[in-house]
Amino acid sequence: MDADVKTQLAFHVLGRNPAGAVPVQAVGPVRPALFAGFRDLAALRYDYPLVLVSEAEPAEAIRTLRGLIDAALQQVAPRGAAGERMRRQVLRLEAEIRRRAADGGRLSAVWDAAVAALAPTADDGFAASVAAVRAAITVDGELVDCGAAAPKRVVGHIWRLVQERKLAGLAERVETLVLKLADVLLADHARSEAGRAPDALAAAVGPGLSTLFDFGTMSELLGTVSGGPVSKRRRRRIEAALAVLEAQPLLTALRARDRAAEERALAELVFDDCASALAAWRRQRPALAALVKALAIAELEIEGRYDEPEHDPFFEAFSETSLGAADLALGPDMLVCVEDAGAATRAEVLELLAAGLPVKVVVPTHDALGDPAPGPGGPTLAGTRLATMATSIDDIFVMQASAASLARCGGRIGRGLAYAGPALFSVYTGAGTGTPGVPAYLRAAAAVEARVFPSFTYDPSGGPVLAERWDVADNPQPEADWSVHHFVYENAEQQRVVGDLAFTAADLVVGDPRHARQFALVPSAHWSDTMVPVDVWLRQPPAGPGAVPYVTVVDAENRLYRAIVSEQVMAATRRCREAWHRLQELGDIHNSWAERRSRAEQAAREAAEREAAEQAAAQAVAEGRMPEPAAPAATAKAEPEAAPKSKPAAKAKAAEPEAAPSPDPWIETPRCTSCNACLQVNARMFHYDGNQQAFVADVAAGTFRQLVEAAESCPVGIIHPGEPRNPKEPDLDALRARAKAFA
Amino acid sequence: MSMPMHECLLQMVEEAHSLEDYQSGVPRWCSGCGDNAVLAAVQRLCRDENLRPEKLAFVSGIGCASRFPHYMRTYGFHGIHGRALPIAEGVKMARPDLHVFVNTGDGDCCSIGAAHWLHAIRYNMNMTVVLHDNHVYGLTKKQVSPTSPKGLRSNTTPHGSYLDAMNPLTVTLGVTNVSFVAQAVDWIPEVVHAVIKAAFHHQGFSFVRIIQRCPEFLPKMWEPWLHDPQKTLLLEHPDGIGYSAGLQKIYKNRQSHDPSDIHRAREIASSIDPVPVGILFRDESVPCYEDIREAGKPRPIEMIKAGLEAELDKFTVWPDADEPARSAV
Repeated sequence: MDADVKTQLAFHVLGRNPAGAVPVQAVGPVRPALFAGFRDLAALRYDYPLVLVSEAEPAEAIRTLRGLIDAALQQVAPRGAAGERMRRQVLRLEAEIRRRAADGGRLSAVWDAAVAALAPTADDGFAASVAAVRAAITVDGELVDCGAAAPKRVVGHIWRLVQERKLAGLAERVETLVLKLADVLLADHARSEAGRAPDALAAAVGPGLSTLFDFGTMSELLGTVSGGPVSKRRRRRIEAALAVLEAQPLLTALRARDRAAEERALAELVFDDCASALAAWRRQRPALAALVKALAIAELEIEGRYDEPEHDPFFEAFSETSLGAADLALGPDMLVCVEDAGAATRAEVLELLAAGLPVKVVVPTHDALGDPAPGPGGPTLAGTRLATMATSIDDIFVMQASAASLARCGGRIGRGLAYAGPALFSVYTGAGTGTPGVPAYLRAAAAVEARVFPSFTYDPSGGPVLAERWDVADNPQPEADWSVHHFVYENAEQQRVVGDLAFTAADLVVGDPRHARQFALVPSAHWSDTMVPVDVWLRQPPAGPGAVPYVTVVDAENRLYRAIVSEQVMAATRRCREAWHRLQELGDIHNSWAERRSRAEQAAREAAEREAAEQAAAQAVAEGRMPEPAAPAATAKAEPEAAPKSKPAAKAKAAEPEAAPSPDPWIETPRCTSCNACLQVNARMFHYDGNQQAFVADVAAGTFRQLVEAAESCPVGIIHPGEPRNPKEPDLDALRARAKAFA
Repeated sequence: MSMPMHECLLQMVEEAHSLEDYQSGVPRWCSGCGDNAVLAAVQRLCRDENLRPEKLAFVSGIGCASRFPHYMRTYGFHGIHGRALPIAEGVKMARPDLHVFVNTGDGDCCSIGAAHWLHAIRYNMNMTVVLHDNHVYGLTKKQVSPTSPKGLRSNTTPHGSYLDAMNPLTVTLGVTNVSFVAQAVDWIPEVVHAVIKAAFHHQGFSFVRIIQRCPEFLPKMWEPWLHDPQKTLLLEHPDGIGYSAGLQKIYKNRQSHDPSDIHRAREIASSIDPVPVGILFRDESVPCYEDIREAGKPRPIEMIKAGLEAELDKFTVWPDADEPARSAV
């Protein structure tokens, strides 16, 4: 074995760099080769900064600056050179705004500041160009840059919109109930003695017409009307419900459109840790129970269906412990933003979610890889498990995404926040430890590409089966194990080399200084055929001696190296791939059960075809003629089976006995049109059934003549008189002859 | 608790209704009149759906069929000739929680009320409209109506009527926003009930034409159809109405028709022999006017007062600029 290969293998297996071995050296400040093209992100156009638009549907509340500018340019930029010039000027402004976005502020303010900063050095027409584009951008809102605070700000913004919409419905319901309950009390007052008093009546009519009426007489007259005031008990109940409905600060603020009060009330529902949220929930629970109770009482009272013996015991026993899922979904949801500070935080979050409270939890994860594991080292991937664990609680909406894709997640976030139950939003920000000099946006995007922090949504309200609940489509190249990208570089002979590079979990780990000792750099002079890319290695571990896995990296000067990967990092990479395979199955990208069944069916089909072909060949040989093409087994079988089907039906019809004429009178009741004709003849003989259709109730109540007359008067001819009961009835022969038509 | 609490509690005191809960008085229609069949079908529907009588409103115009609200123990409004639909629309706007039914005759709807009919279809308010079509003005002792057959001798046309009959189905199917059209014949009560039930469940303006016999003035008109089941065409489809085995045994002339196909519906509606029965057209996607206008929103006293003031201000005589000076003199 070559000396280079030996040292490389020793590093991969033992994690040690044998003394004196020159080619393998400790990892330096390197980054994945695919990062080589991204140095100054501010100069590139990407999804950040985001604009949080207030006056919009939740799905439309997150817009990208780039998207807004593109749409505006499309609207106002003229064709040709002038349009291109305008585009260039506005894109320069966009880059300036992107540089300033980290400080926050509203788009309009930052826009103006950036224009002012660029104006002195701008070319002619700059002011007019940016003013035209600004006028075409009709929305405004806070700017958010990619960083640690992005998830909280984005989810918090949509949460506020969702709460406003949700509570607006409740506020309207409460307002309706308050008005209707007040009407009940007003009507009650009008019926009371005080309301009927001459003075009260005079006041109701008004001063202009008061001389036209005698209010004393009117009062006496009204006193004779039946129906008195409501009972004191009912009045107290209505007043108590009214008091609860009117004492809802958030709903009152929404109804009054008092933005400041609304903001204050909503701010009280936002928490930074699980314990505070739980404590607040315990405090608020009695108030919610009172509201639910008041709503129910109010609606029953308004419907006039409050039944004291039935409902009193129920409401007396109703307490905060009686609140069900539908009741909990009625009020506002709490928003908890918890930084992922380790296992204890994650356990608290899961406990809070499992409690089934009306709570939405945002957990920004800044470090997906985690510190080196005790012992041999390697990434623990501790920050990547929370969302997956939460999906096992089943009735929780779970979304996992990276901050880089938040701009596309507005609809999903809105759905989760509107979900009638707990929801978890686990977002990787890329703002923690990682490859030095790489912006958070790039780290966040890379974590999704590397399947370390794949994007997925689990929505229990999607439907009863997993296929309707899981969505993993928002991942790059979802059908593949790893996302593969085109890569071009110049080799030592200054020749252009073109190839594809898979971006694996090991590629993400390689730049992290905490895991530097898990990699060893190999300059191109020492590359050998025994080195195998990580993705190929995982797909099919090489059988040959001396093979080692590697990832391709670049140093600060963009020089290319292969980094030998230790067994510990390979284990973590393998774990990421397995976890991704599970997600693929859940998201119906690969379904191993279906694939297995499909393979089995295919094999069975092929075997049957083969067998049929063999039989046909054998028969042909036996008959001494050329073999014919074999017919598919299924078609050959289907035809003889189809023929006998119609026979039983035809038989049944033939065997159906003809009904013999009944000697008793009868009516084809289901065909009766309720026209009263027979009842006009004899209402004791004919009656209506529960469906208002006639039947012969009592034959003895009338004569055969009446039966015949009824049959003749029936417009649909469904009365059958049968045979006369009294042989002495006059004109029987003639009646029998008339009855024949209705036999 | 899986359902809102007040619904749970309402169920605790929910009572089952019987046919008698919806009956009021003995109908004064002639014996053999098809109105009786419609009345029985509607009362059965109310009972089967356990509708609360105080949540029902029956509105009618003038004519034999327009006596319908008198025989229902519910809210009712016996209106004026041809104006059943506008009254019903007013009821629905003020009380969208009510189930509104309209009973109108061929004269009431297709003649004097024709303009209201067309616009009511376009407004598509959620109500069930039953056109009792007996092809004649019966209440006023036999005059031709728009749906009378050509050549009908009547008090107004002693030499026979001059025009072909109007087809209410094709008219309805030609109006913008049409959302439900069905037909039944009074001599098949099962279909009358099924069609009215489907119309009741449709969210929108459900137009049901019931072909009726007038035993007094047109007793023979539908005789051939009554005695020959082949002259009746049952429309069947998974999205339509179902027929009992007994009925299928009698009426063998059946045809599959998808109620979402308006072009085919218009073709079928043009046929009089055989006469089609069942659902001709249904489109649940047409919005209801009361939803568009958000009817039924609570109106606080302040809003009512402001509205009244604004209305009264229209009739106020405001003083001219120099009015104070003249008053002073």
